[in-house]
Amino acid sequence: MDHETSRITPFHRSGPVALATRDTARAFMSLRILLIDCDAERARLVEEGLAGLDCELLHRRSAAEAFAELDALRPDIVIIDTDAPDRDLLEQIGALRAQARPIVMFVDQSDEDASLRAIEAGVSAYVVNGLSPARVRPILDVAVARFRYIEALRSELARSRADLAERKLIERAKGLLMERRGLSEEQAFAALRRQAMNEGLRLVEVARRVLSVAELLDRVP
Amino acid sequence: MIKRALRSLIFGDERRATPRVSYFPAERVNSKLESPRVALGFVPLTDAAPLIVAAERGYFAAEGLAVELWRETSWASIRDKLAAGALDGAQTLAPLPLAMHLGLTPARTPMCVPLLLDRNGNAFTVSRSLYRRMQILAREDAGVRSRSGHALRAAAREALAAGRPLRFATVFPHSTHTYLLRHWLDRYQVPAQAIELSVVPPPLMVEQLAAGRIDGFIVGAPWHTLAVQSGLGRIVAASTDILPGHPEKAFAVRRSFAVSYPRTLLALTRALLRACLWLDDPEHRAAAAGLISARRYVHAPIECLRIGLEDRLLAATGETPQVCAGFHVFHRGGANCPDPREVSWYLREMMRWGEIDAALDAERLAAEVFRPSLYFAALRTLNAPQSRFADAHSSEALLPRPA
Repeated sequence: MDHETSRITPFHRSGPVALATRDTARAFMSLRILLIDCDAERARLVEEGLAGLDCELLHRRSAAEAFAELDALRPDIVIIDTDAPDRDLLEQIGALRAQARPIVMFVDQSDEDASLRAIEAGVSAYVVNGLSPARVRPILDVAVARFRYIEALRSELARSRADLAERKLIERAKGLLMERRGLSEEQAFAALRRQAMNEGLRLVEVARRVLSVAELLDRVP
Repeated sequence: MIKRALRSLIFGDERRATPRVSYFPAERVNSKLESPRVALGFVPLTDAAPLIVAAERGYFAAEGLAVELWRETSWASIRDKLAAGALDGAQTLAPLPLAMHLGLTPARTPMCVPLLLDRNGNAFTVSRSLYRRMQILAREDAGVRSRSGHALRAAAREALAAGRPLRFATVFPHSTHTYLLRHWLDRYQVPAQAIELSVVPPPLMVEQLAAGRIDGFIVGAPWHTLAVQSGLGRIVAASTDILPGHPEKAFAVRRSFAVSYPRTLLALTRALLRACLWLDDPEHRAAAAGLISARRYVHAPIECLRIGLEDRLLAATGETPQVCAGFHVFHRGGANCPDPREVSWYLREMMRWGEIDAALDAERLAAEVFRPSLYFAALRTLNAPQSRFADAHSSEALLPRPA
């Protein structure tokens, strides 16, 4: 069975695909990397990370934007967020232009760990056919590291926002107890904590219940 | 054209005969799962319901499985994450595991399908302006779905003469939708040069139609209903008009997963079959709409989801949804059987459109991926009737012609 011929069969109305290998010519040229990312901060970080490598980074905010000038950009590697909504458009461009400039996804099957790491970090890379994995790898590593860094920052931010919201809930419940029961701040906090321990709940859950019960009682005439 | 057997499936006795009480033994068969923690992917669509229901109603947990569900925007993400091992299994388009198995997608990955999740569920929707053109050219009510093909042919010829092809979107190059649409366009001799196909992820279809970037799309529920409800489009053909009873979504894992974790796979198959059985009961469909409408799942209005799930079709804005029997079939009549004979239809379409070598043995290839033996094994442990959809209900067009 020879499936190789149909490997990147173009999706629509293109002729047979020529899988030209142009690596020999490219071996001495610096690589052109097109990063499609609507996150400007992340793009700046990737660019910083690539500074030491022999390559040139082009940044566009969307696949549609890149589409118009793809012939001029002539990227060797395209990097896009795995969850970007217009990734399908990019793949389609790759398929439509298969003859002129084949773009195939880089999944180096000899190194499944690398592919998994990239995909888990949300990095999808499309590489001109014939480019050796050894040249792609360091660039991909940079992208993965920077994407992860941004992700870590974002989840840190989300976590501290959630912490803050929880602290506010506890404060409100404490205030309510102080006001309705004439407790001191320490007494109110101790009451909440005792309830949490007795019921095996988190403090914030008890606070939430106190507030919702109070709201319910206020509504009942 | 609906075959008699399919008609009986849709309108008749089988539906009443489907036992409402579950037919599962109480004891667990899988005390030793090799890999109880499993990550499964889905795309926000009504037919992600079997995965969502199995999680929400505790069918996975009953098997001793700890399943994490991952919502993916596009089929490209599902493909990549399955191939790289970031997901263990996923809801997939029926032809997608075939394309991955054959290497039509970038990373060639041997795949395994233990069950189909559903049949039908798609609708071809055109923009209001294209629909107006179709109506004028057809000089009659193009809204009657049986006539819409002829009307579209007239509109396509006009578009071709004007040098402005019609732009239609499907959800993935190797999708049920692409092959259904091409099949339907071909049936009505719509000139292929008049059509430009593109790919848009299902949850973004309506937005693309609203922006005027496409003239129509074929997609699964609820996105076509949403387009009609929003006054943007008109449904001109449903799955049940194009190829009634076609296999729609499959549950797929990498073959290496199936080989390494057979008991886990059996447990997953059982849980999903139970979810499909629950979903097939008309009395559960409204509750299912509520379960899947959550933001972390399909994230669509319950009312919109209910129309399709209650086997109704809202073809035009402002109309009352019409009964569309069998619009979503999740279980009855052996609908979950991953029968290579039926699925080989997609391979024959791939051959017809020059995507794979026409000399390949379609049925044998389909049988490498779609494994009825796994489906039957799971059915046996559930004491369920051993039914095969193809035996009684498949439309003739779907099955290979006897040599």
